[in-house]
Amino acid sequence: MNEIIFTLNGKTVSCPFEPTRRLLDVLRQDFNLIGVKEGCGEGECGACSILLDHNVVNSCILPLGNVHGKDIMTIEGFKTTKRFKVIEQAFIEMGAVQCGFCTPGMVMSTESLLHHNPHPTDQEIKIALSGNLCRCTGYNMIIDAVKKASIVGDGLW
Amino acid sequence: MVNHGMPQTLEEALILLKNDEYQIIAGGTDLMVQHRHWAQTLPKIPKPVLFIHHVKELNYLLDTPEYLEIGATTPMDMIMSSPLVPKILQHTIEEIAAPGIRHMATLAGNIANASPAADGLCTLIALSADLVIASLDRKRMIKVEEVISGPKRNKLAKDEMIIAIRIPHQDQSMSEFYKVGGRRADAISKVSLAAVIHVHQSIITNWHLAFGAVGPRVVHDIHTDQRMIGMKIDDVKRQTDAIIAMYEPLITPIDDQRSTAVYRKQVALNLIRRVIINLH
Ligand SMILES: Cc1cc2nc3c(=O)[nH]c(=O)nc-3n(C[C@H](O)[C@H](O)[C@H](O)COP(=O)(O)OP(=O)(O)OC[C@H]3O[C@@H](n4cnc5c(N)ncnc54)[C@H](O)[C@@H]3O)c2cc1C
Ligand code: FES
Ligand code: FES
Repeated sequence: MNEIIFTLNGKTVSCPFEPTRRLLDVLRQDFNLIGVKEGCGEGECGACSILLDHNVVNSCILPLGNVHGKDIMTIEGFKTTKRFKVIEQAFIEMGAVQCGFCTPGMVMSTESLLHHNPHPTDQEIKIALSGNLCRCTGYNMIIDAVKKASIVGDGLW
Repeated sequence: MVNHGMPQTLEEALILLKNDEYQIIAGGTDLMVQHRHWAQTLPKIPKPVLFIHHVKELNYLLDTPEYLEIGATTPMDMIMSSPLVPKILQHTIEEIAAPGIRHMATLAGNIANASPAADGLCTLIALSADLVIASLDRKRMIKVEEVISGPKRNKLAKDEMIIAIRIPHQDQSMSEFYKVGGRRADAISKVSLAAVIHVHQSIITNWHLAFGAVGPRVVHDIHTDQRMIGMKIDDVKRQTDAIIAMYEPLITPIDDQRSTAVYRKQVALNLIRRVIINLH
């Protein structure tokens, strides 16, 4: 095998066979998808969250080898969807964004949650966001925003 | 130089393992952190890597009359949400990391990594689970706890891999997993206790306590557990202090960056008391 092939934001892409490379580096360096952030680099903060086959994962500890044949979505790809617009609007209205560093990851975790569970309880929202740290908002506004998105976007998920 | 391997089938994986020495990666959630290097550089993994994530035939849950079998590459998230899985194991996985990790991480990785603080490992030991281990030439079964030789060391041969975990069906109506850590998500246990218990007509008929992060390996002493079988719960409650004293010598924690030995010991003993208070 000399290439790793996967779907990235709806397009088929291929990379040289370097399967131990972190997906985070591939996304940022090779594809210039810099909405994917690096915070801790060890799976604890969620700034690097992306979707793999519609499930949120931490791209900083995801080896490229595990991505072969999968469907990867980053914030850049998700931005073009209706569901993103609803989440974006809810985040703005509820004051869920301050510096914005955690936001792409928060949005991807939100999408992963709503995809599987369109009407989550507060507790389910907290669990869904439990791997995403935010140093600014204090979380309440983010939880409110997810709740709001699930109501306003009813039927989209 | 040997290249990294990305087998699609179990047979391909076992052939590669037979011919060369590899570092297996399943979800990578332990290995990628352990071998982490600078940002934008490759992790420093000293051996070629065998990626088993794509071996689909190992991604399954299978219920049989005697046991539940979980394939080695089944992600934790899928195990957690399966109705086939004992509640105590579901609760344990809910306490492991956060959704992003649980979508990739595997129980086989949690076991093979052999951390004394591994939560899945702790509960599987309390559940008397077995491992199915395979190499190209043979297949064998071994108790989960017997595969662990020390902190971060397992007894798998170079050409072997875990292919499945078997959890025997058993009566365990009063089982519970207790985890004490720094934060709800993403916290490695300071102390944990998996209690697999069944009471029939006020008499203990199943009793296994496994403690995490209080020794070089998960602590589980079948002889001590056996002494509880046949006891009436009233007697267990009356003799709480004596029972705690019986387990006390097994609990030998150390100081590290996450906690102190004194704290860990006290909490572990308090958790036994909690288990006994909750008996009914
Ligand atoms: C932020 C964060 C939080 C975490 N929180 C917790 C927690 O709360 N509790 C907890 O217990 N753990 C926790 N972990 C650790 C880790 O997620 C788990 O141990 C996980 O189960 C490892 O599985 P994996 O498939 O990712 O393993 P990998 O990293 O792929 O592999 C781990 C080890 O197992 C070996 N291995 C994997 N599969 C096999 C196989 N089939 N046969 C033989 N060897 C194999 C590998 O060679 C390696 O030595 C956390 C990790 C992170 C990054
Ligand atoms: S950068 Fe990936 S979890 Fe922090
Ligand atoms: S808004 Fe700044 S880290 Fe969340």
